[in-house]
Amino acid sequence: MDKLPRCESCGMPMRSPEEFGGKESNNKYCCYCTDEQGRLRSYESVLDGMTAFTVKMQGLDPGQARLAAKEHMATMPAWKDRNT
Amino acid sequence: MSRKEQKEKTRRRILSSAFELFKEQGYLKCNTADIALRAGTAHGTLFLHFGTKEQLLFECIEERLIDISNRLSHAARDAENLESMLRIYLHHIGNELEFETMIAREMPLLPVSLQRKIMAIRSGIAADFYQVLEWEMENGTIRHVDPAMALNFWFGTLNYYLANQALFAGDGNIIETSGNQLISYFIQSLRR
Repeated sequence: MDKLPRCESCGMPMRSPEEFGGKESNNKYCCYCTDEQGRLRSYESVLDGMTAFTVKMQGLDPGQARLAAKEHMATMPAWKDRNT
Repeated sequence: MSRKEQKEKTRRRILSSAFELFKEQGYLKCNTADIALRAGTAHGTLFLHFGTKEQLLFECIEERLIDISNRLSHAARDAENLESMLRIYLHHIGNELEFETMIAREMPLLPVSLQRKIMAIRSGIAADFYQVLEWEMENGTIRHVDPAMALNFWFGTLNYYLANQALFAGDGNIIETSGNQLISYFIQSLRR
């Protein structure tokens, strides 16, 4: 089974061209972490998106979901060197 | 072998020793000195590679979650139905039953920061199931439900059976003894 490419901002596996940023299959980021042109969104915007995603998928407490998203993003190539 | 390759080999050996000892002793009882001993490295080397025991557990879990996430994402992409997704998931759990049983038992006792890290990766797996649940709802094969709540019922029930495996399966394998029943009951509860 081929290993699916993963978004370097959130870790989402990208399964089809539509799921890559800007629908370009060489984009390192997924469609949710990028704008219409395929450019990586701001940290805050991605964090908000990931928090909402975690709440929606698993029904977690929003405060815990935000912390979970923050800690997860801190391990991702796009954000791990960010100084916060 | 280059220095980089040697380093990676040591890292892998520590990780697989940790995985085996976590299975045998449980995460909470297991200590890093024993992991280093099993891996044949100095205790300090373990911390150079992983920093903390928590990080070791996290990487063991992350590796398994990425593997199953990859399988489920392929299945979701190929528009598999809910039942086949659940079978793929149970097969994955059954492959490393002792480890999964340990996680089901000890997850609530882990530091909450580690629980959050695990849940963040689990969201990806939940998303694949979520998508299939939405398709089945649109197709009318299951009732309209809150997918997150339905999935929490599934994972919660599965964890209950895993954590109490000895009571439900004796010396047997809980996935083999109760897997079909769990899938069938869950699906029936969602049918119209």
